[in-house]
Amino acid sequence: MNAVTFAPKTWPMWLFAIVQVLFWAGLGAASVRRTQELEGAKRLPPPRTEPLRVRPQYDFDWIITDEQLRRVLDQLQPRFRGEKPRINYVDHALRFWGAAATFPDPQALSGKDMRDLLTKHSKFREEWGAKTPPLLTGSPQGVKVRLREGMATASHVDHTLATLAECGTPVDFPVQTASAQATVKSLLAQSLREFSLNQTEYEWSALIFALYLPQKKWISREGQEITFDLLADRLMRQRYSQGVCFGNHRLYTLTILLRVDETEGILTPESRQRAIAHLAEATRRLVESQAQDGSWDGGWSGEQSANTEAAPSALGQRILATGHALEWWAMAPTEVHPPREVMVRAAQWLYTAIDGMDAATIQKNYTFLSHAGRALALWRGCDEPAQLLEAETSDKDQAASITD
Amino acid sequence: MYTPSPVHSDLATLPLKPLLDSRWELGWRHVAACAWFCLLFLYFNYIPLFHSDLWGHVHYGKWMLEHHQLVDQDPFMPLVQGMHSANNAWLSQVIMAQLHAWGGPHYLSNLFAVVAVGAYLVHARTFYLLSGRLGLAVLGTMLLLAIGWSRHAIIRPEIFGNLCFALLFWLVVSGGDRSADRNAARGDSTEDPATASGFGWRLWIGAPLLMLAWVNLHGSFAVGLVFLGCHAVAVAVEEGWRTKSLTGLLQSRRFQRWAILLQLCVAATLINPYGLDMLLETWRFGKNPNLKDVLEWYPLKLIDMEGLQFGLSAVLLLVALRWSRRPVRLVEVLLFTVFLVAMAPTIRMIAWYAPVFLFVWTPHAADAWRHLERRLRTYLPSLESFAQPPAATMADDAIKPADASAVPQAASEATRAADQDTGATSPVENEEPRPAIRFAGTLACGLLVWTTFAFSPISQPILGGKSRTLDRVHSRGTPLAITKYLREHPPGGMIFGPQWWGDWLAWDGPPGTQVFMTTHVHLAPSTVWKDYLRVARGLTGWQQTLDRYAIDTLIADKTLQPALVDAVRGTDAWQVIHEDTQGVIAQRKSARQSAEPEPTDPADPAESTEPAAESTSERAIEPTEPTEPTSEPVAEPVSESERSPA
Repeated sequence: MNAVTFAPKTWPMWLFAIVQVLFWAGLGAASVRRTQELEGAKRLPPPRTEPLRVRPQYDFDWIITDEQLRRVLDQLQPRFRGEKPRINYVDHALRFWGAAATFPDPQALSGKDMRDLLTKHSKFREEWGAKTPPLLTGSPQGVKVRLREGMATASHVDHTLATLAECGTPVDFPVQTASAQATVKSLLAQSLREFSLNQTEYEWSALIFALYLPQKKWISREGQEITFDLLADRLMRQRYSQGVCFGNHRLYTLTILLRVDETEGILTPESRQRAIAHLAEATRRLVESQAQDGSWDGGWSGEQSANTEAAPSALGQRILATGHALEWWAMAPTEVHPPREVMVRAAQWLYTAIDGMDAATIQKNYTFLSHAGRALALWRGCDEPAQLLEAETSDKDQAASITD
Repeated sequence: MYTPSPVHSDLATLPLKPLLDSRWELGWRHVAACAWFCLLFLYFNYIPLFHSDLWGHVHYGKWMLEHHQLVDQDPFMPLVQGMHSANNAWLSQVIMAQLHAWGGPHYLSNLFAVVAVGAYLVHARTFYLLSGRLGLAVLGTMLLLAIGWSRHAIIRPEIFGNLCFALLFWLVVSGGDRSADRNAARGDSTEDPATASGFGWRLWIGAPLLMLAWVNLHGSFAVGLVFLGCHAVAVAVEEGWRTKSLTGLLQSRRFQRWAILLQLCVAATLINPYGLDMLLETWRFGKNPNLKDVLEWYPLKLIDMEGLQFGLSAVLLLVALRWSRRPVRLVEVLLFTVFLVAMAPTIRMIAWYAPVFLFVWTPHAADAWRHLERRLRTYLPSLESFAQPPAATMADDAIKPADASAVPQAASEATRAADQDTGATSPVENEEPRPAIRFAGTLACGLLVWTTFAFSPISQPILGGKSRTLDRVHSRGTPLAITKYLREHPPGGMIFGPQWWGDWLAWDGPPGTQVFMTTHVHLAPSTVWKDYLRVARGLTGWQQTLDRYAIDTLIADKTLQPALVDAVRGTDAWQVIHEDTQGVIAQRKSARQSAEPEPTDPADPAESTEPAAESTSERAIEPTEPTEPTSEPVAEPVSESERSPA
């Protein structure tokens, strides 16, 4: 029973006022500070100046010989010079050949030309004209690449930036939109700010983050803490056949995460083990489904695709599936490699298919072929294959001069 | 023939001396009030446990008890990994889980009944202190039930919030000087009930302790701070106006008391596992964009049930203010305005608006009734006032009856006559009624209480008897058969189901069940929530969405998701493997076969059959997010028949 009231004497005004000010100001300051801390955690992680370079680690001439490789490379030079080169092709070609590539064929765009086409609006406008909407546009988040709006646009989310990353493009590399100057950092900022773990295409985004970000975790626009473990799980979540290019890009990105993990420790041991097991399972399915001639197609995983109406031609499918498989194996640890003969048969089938291919077919299937050509080059320890062509040209010139 | 001995004869002539003192002499009004609360208690006992977020809370509590740590990330929804949130109901969850461990769902039902009725009893006490009238106190609880009807049967940690809110009201009203209370009961006080001369120890200590408990029980502790804050602001304005100077305000004892009390309570809310984050999280919670699709976060519409309830309260307030001569205090204006504004954009706030409304309304209603009664008695002298203050024998701290001079003589005579009829003790009575009849009301109340106890499930552990079957304990909408099937045929991988079943599926499904969405929608990344809505509504692209999440098992509510059920039946890629009156379970026909291919890398982008992204910020090639603002139930699904589980 509370019959007694507590009626203390009035506080001195000055004491009361001080207590009020201290309390409320302190609470307000602490709230503001904590809010800033929480908002600060959402700030974009600062990127590396230069992206990590994940180099090929094998040089197996039993997969493809020097001569065979050179013939393939010669076939696959990026002969896009002329009006309106398809951005999708340029994207793939730059990734294949590298930014420093130069070619003996005058019809081939150099690496510098290709990179300029993707990063300089003036170059883009030169090729595509003033009436074509620009490839790069400024936004509040950074710089955006136009996507899936025709041949003058990229075809996958963050594909262009991933290409720049794999070519070793630093973040301060200048980028020019229709109205402003920026850098690659703005493209990266756009990607980070828009990224959602569950977006439909995330393979190239994950690749970009692995190569450009030194931090192992950050907060996405949705307030989700993104780690490379989560990205790895996301890459492994869907069925093997799902995803762009019959799911092969997920496997490639997962491989790159494993490679980066070796030096940067971005994955937990459990996550690494899961990734390796996932790739081993993919290998097992590939071994099981390899055709007699050494190739694969869209059914490589044993999971049938019901609707093939939009799929590329049968040859295109096989180049796509076979080239991608060889490409991610080329960057993967040996523990997920198939038996040697599986890789040899696949590589030899690719060589045979490409060597005999006419220019029109090459042009039509260039994006798939770029993966195939890159794969074969990687197996010979080469990620700037234009040098092999230059070397061959130089040899020929020397031989010619001697003959003369 | 028996002849009593002289000793026995002497004893027989002695007047009976009651063992209970006079304060236990209860009248018919008390019996009526007791009957009301007994009925309420029985009713709450038999309200079935709803099938939605309650089980998420119990599951969280169970997880915490098993792991001896707080839940940092939802353990049952893998898609929210990485989303951190302060769990503002952790203590409630632990209590519920422990009770469930001891006695199963029956104990949860008992807990709800006890806590819910407890809150009503405390409110009744407060309304009695505010009005001085038992009848109004009981009427107040009835109105509380009526206005908060849409939320009265929700069994979740919010029930602890309701109880704490009631206790806070009582502390504020009762924690002051008795004279101020009496003034308030007579309706002529211009001071706040919490006293001219000081707060009671109960308020000084009780309020901070209450806030300390509340902040760990439920996120509604913020409304308690708002309640106190309104008092402090009102006093500040009044004192500032009275003194016309800042110095005067700062020296005002009234203002100092309220300011310090508010500070103590705010400081108490910082004592929780998350510290200041709890306060910030509560502030930010309502701004979560996912909530705009959830029914109970919809704005108030006058045509809906909550709108009608609000309308009723508005009419009652207008009537009371029309006839009341009691000045409207600034704190009443502030409280009513603040809670009305809070309720307008979010109908779930009606649970807090209702008691605040009654806090404001009751003293005016009492005053209005007093004046109306006076008028009526001039026409009907024999009328016994419905809200006649009870005899002073009610309780130690009862409000003293209004001064006799304040009521007309005729009313006093009528009261004496009526008291004679009922045998109630009256201060002006000269004759003592026979002792046995004095406690008839008391006995009747005791019988009511005992009967209620005996008939309620809460007595089962003590009195024995059969427990209710599970289908009686759980609401009709609980998918018992579905989880039974899942336990017998455990599916692999994550399950997609309606979010209002998600908590139950995770709780009652096979061990380790993981679900796409539960009622914790605020935890979901916005992309996941939008994808959930797409599938839940059977919109275009639902299959591709399920592919993206590698979902092979889908559960749909036949009543509330007919579009999805039809879509599932209409596709060859999914097969219904279980169906009952409530829902269907479908499984992908071949886990190794995708229904629709994800887009490949086309040779010519112009030939791609996938639609271009309509919103580059969405970065999706699936159809655009749903735009129809159809409701997404949480605790209460859309259909009217399920708005009130009882």
